Amino acid sequence: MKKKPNVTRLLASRAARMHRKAWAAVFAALALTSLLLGSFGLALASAGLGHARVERYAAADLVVTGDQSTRFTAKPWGGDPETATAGLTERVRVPRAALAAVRQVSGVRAAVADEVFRVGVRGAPATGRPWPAARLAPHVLRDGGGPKHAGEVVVGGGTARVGDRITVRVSGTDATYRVTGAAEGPRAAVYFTSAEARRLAGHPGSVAAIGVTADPGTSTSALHARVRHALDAAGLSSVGQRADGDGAGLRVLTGNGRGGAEFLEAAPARAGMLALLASVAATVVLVALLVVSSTIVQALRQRSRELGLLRAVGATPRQLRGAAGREVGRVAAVAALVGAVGAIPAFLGLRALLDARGALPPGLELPLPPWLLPAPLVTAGLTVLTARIAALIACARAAKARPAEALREAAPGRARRISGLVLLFLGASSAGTATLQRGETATAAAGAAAVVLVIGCALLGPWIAEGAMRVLGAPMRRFGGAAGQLAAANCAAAAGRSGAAITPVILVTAFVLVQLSAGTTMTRAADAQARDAARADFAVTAAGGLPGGTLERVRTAPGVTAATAVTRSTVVLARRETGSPRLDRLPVLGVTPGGLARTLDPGVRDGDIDDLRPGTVAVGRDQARSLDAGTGSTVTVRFGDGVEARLRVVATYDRELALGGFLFSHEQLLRHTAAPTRILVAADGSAAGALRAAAPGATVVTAPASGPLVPEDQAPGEVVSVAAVGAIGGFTVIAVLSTLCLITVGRRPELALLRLAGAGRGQLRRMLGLEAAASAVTGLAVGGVVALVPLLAFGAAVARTVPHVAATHAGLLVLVVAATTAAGTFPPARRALRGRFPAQGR
Amino acid sequence: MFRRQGSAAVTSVTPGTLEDDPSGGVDALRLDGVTRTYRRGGPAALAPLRLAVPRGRFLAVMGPSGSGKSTLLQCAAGLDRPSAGTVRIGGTDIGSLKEAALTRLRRERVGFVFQAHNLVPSLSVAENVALPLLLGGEPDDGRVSLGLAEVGLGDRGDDRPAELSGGQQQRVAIARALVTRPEVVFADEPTGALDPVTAHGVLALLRRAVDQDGHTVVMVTHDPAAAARADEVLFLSAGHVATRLLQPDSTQVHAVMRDLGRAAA
Ligand SMILES: Nc1ncnc2c1ncn2[C@@H]1O[C@H](COP(=O)(O)OP(=O)(O)O)[C@@H](O)[C@H]1O
Ligand SMILES: [Mg+2]
Repeated sequence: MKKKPNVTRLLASRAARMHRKAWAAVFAALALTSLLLGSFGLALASAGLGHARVERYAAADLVVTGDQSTRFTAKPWGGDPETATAGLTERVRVPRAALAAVRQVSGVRAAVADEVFRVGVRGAPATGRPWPAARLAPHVLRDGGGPKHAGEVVVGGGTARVGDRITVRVSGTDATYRVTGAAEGPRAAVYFTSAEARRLAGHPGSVAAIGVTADPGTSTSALHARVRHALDAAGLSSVGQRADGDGAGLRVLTGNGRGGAEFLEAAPARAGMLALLASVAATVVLVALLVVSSTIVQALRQRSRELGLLRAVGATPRQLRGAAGREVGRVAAVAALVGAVGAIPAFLGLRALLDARGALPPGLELPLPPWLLPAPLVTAGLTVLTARIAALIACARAAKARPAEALREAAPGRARRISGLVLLFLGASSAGTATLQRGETATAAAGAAAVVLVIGCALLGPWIAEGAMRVLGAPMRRFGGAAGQLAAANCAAAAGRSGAAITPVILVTAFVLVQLSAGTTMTRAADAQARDAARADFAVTAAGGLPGGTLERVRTAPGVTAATAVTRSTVVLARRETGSPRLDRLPVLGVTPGGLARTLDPGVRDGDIDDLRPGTVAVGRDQARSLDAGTGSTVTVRFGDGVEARLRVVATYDRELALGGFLFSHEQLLRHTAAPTRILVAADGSAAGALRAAAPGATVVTAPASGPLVPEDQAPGEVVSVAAVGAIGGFTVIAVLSTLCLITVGRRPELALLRLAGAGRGQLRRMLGLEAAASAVTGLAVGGVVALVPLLAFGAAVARTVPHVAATHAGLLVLVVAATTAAGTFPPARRALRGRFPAQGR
Repeated sequence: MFRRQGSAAVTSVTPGTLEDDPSGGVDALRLDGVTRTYRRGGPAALAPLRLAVPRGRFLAVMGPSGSGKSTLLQCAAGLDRPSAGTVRIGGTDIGSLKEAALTRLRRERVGFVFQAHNLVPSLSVAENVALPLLLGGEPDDGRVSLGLAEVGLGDRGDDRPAELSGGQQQRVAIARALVTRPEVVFADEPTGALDPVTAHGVLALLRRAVDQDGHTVVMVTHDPAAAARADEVLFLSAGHVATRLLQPDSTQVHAVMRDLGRAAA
């Protein structure tokens, strides 16, 4: 009994050496699995560790800010209360009283009020801040001295010379300042005296943030505790009326957290990226499981006769499972290790791609600390585990069945058929739920539906092959000659084998179609809406803001028929999903309603958009439906700075893919955003001159571009989606290739036999070609249908169009499938078809 | 080495096939009312069958193809489960055995030789012979090399099966079937893929195992010459025992087969 492991080890090691070719396919699939899991794992960990870069406050020990996140607590059905959190991208301000409170804390050497506002210097955008806050970085003087009077500024190095007089535009008002110094740090910066900065920022009762430096010898943690206590004791909290249960206390940031006070978009973008990576990783894991187990099953199925023989001479099922598991384990361990090593460059590549596409928001760091480097070993371990489980499943039948059965091919059972049908049903209903989602989430849900449908098809493979042969068999026999007859007979006789060949083709077709088409469908629909909405002939913008009264002057300029001020921001919508709290961040526009139909036509369905003013809102059709709101009802939203408002719905409109789910009055949105305003103008072509006169110092653009309003975290989504399509595509290509290779290699004796029986090499090649073509055509057709189910649901719900597949995408897909099928069929068969003497190939 | 010397003399064979063993000892193999139906409601591949094979007997099973020979062998050897009836090997009812015990029985008390594909291609010849011992965790103690020497392949132990001829492979398979000194050796057309001369050698090995070592052999064959080497021939037709011959010679066997073929046609 003690020696039992020996025999499994012997069998495993000998078989691994013997069947090296068969294992090459499994090796490739496992290495790729490990690589992808490793790099997605690293990406997830890195995004988890990610934080905003610390620049402005690098020399501050503490930073006191408002609460840049909003919370929503709800009790799921029959569960404990849960809290959802969403980042806020507009600045949440700190009451000025906090400054005095912090200064009284012992150990505080200095507490500096910071302000951050948009300014325009010679038509270029820049950041305005108080000069004392520059030393929190520190951005030290390169030349000259600090500003002493309201009319003096320090500028970012290289912008202007000391002694120059420059015109700075703030909130649309121009003023001239004398440059007293030039500072290190960002170039596009203007530093004012504290009092001037406070005046220009326009919030006398509050500050943007407070930078705190400690007395020498005071520990940061001790100071943090004291400052925290002082602020709590003073009963201070963030500026703005928050929702119930969203207590917006002041935050005291230290270490890497300080970056959050500077790059407000980093935290929400990081959260979005985590969710996205998680969903993509889940899909990739599913596909990997499918591919790995199908290749291993295929590799072991080639040897079911050998397994049956071992059973007949007295191997226990356990010994067989042990030997197969060990054999797979050996291959998997090396493959997983190779993949794990490759995961690090793959992650760095993904990060570089995100960077190159500008998909990462400014200031978001994705670190790769050295202790994270071994993380791919964990995913490599998971890969080995997966492989061993797949091996267990693969030899379960051979190990369990009576040896007499294991010695011959058995018909697939009823359990398999039933589970296949159940999965198809589940996939279809999951496609149904995809219709309730939005954007990337809907894409992910559609992808998940596709996974389930594909697994169902994999289980039903033999029956699909059988059905396909009913359709394809007749023409093959009729037109294929002897080769066609043979091919048709083979496909019909070995339905299990044909099913195995078809499954990966279904997989690649369905996945790639869903991934590519969901995005394309959405973009096309949004672009079409954006084109329909864009009616303006000119757009007027200015760095540092448009002067007061510009809109009125533009409206009365000669040739102008309508003008609309537009600004964009983000709102957060609290809702419940099956009782659980959810917070969705949505991009929105604020507009002046007059003449909107002639500048940016939202396609009003119901109500009157001219009623849009502070306290009211217009809602997109689908958004209204999902909120169960209509004209006259009330909706509750949280603005970008966390302030909650209840607003009366005055209109609903159609073009929400292009304009976002909510249209606010421009005036209202301005109270909650620092984003710049642009004016869209409908006018005859000669009005450009009049517009320049009406808005001095502004930029006038003719025929403004009409891209849809996209959420700011969509950019990484696109990059990650591209990476996912690449990963899934590569995976499934390997799956097609390895499955077909294994099948063809297993058929070599059969081919040799056919040659002995008098079949010509050309005939056999034609036979193999016809069989491969039948698999490819069936796989493409079934894959297309599998993709269509979630895509139709997605298209109907989200984009309100039929799904669109770019002709180039479809062509490429067919080409790849054809090339891979051919590559998996002919080269492995070459040995059996080589030479004039059939026995050579045996 | 030899557990029992060839006590069963070939000269006085009594037909043990359908009656109880008169000596009162335990038969090597005993089937009672064994049937096998592959599809529910379909025809029986094996009609209710009763059969007793005493120890030291060389039984040949013949019949037209499709008559149920392989089915009989697989049910008798514990490779397949009969639809009804009991199978006893050395007195043990294998229908009552659990998975593990059944596996152990196959390993220790039964030997197999198939028509082809008998050997695991990745193992060496000696390892193939040693496989039942390895699987059972038993020590080799020279049995493997002795067994290989007995089939005339003592010098080929380190070769791969692919390097042997078909007849040599069958001899290795016989060496493996005998290595645990099983109660019964089953062989399904062991010479079916061999030329007459090589086949003769393989049959001689089986015959010798019976005569010298007292083994019990049940062999399916199509070849009247092969059947004539047995002590008894059982003829199957459509799952039934058509007839049987004791101490057959090949002309008798020919005649019975021709009649059966005519009846089937
Ligand atoms: N796995 C199986 N499924 C269905 N029928 C089978 C199976 N194996 C054998 N049969 C049928 O059982 C009968 C006996 O088969 P078999 O024992 O293999 O015959 P023999 O070995 O005498 O040629 C035949 O009619 C055959 O068609
Ligand atoms: Mg047979």
